[in-house]
Amino acid sequence: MTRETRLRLVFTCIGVAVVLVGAADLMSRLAHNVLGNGAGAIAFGPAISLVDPSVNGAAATTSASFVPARLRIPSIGVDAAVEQVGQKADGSMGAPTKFGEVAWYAPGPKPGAPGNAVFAGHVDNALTTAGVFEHLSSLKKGDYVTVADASGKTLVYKVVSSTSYAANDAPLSQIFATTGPSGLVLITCTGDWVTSQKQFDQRLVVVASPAY
Amino acid sequence: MKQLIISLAIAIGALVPAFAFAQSTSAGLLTVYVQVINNTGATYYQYQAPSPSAFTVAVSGQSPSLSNFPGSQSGTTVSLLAGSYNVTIANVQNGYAPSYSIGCNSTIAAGQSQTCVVTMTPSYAYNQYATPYQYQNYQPLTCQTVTPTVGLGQQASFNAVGGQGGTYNWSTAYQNFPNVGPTLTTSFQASGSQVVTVTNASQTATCNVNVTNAYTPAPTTYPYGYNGVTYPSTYSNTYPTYTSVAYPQLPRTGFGPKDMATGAAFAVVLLIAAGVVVAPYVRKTVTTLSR
Repeated sequence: MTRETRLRLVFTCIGVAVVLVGAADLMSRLAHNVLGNGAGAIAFGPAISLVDPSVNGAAATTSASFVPARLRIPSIGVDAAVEQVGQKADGSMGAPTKFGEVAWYAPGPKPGAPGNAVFAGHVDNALTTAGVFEHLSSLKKGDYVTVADASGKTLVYKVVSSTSYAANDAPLSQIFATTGPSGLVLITCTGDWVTSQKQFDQRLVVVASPAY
Repeated sequence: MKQLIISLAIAIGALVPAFAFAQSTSAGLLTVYVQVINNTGATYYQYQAPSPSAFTVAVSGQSPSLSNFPGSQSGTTVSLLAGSYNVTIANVQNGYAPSYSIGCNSTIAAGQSQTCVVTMTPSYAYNQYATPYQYQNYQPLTCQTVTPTVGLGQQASFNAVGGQGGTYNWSTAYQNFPNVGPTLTTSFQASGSQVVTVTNASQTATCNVNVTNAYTPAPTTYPYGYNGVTYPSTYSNTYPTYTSVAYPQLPRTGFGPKDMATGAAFAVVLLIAAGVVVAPYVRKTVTTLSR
């Protein structure tokens, strides 16, 4: 077997592997539509989750408030850039423009400041691929969430609750609290799709408190 | 002999009370009550109701102990021998009409007790006007928009003028503000022309405000005051202003699920495309290996 033949064999194997992985991924996404949120997590969940991100994290933690630039949730494999959003014309909080990023409600408190820093992420997108918060419902009490600014300063939070609310009947004053203990709120869609309203009928609201 | 006297004394002592008891139980007792319905409803012509004693009660029957006596609300007892009897009001007057209970015209047996209730009811028509008309000194209720144009999230103020006073109930398309004063300060969650409604007693008025799309944060400084303590520019003993903080609605972070056919078609297209790209290399590799 010549050297050229061996190279062709190697690249062919790589190509076939890529096609197989892609096909499996597509099938997983399709299965997600049929079987629900759990299918994708089982197939492509992170093999290792950080127990305490501050231990393995490269950046030092801080207690000061800052403008967030990156949000990480190791237990569900989220490591996303942060967009700043405000309030839309219909009165709702803005959503991230990219499915792999999260939105921070900039008119509200910053992470580390009194009140809740509110983040939102898509649960899915129109092409059956995952949104950044596809597996937000898998978060458990005690899971870690970290927020970092552009310079790498990091705040570490622990999940304390996960609650689903009707989209139009949520305790907004609690979720978007501007006073009180510093907290973190993660929001995504859940429930059933309401075609007439072009939205899901519920929102999953995960609340996290400073871990330290 | 002595024993005979003692026996007679005992017999007499026992018979006398028995005779007296027999005499007393040969009559019946009739108690007559007279009550007068008070004319409390008359306002312009306040009429003092007569007392029950203004009416004379007449009792006819078998030897009544009292045949005519003034009426009493606490009752008057008359003894009668057994037989029929009748009770009437002898002097119907002052526009009052009597009505009698069934015990006022009945029979009585020895030792029986009967009760008669005579009710004197006013017969004047004006007595039916129980509630006098009261002049309602209400001012017309109007609503004034202090801030005709505001941005999303910016505070808008409204004043209710006139009305009866007391509490005012405000409402927007998004929220109700019950039992607040004549001033409302709130923000809006949607742009465009927004209507604010205020009600006070039975009156309703509306204000309009134009809400623009531009987000304007709430002011952080106050025109009056020191160290965060604000002072009103003029003294007012009206209700405190109700202020609400505008919170956004929850974001829309999902898209409608696609059906299985759409997803499968998408997957097939991608697989075919990938196959087209890889196929030449697979063919060359197979050809080379088969030589």
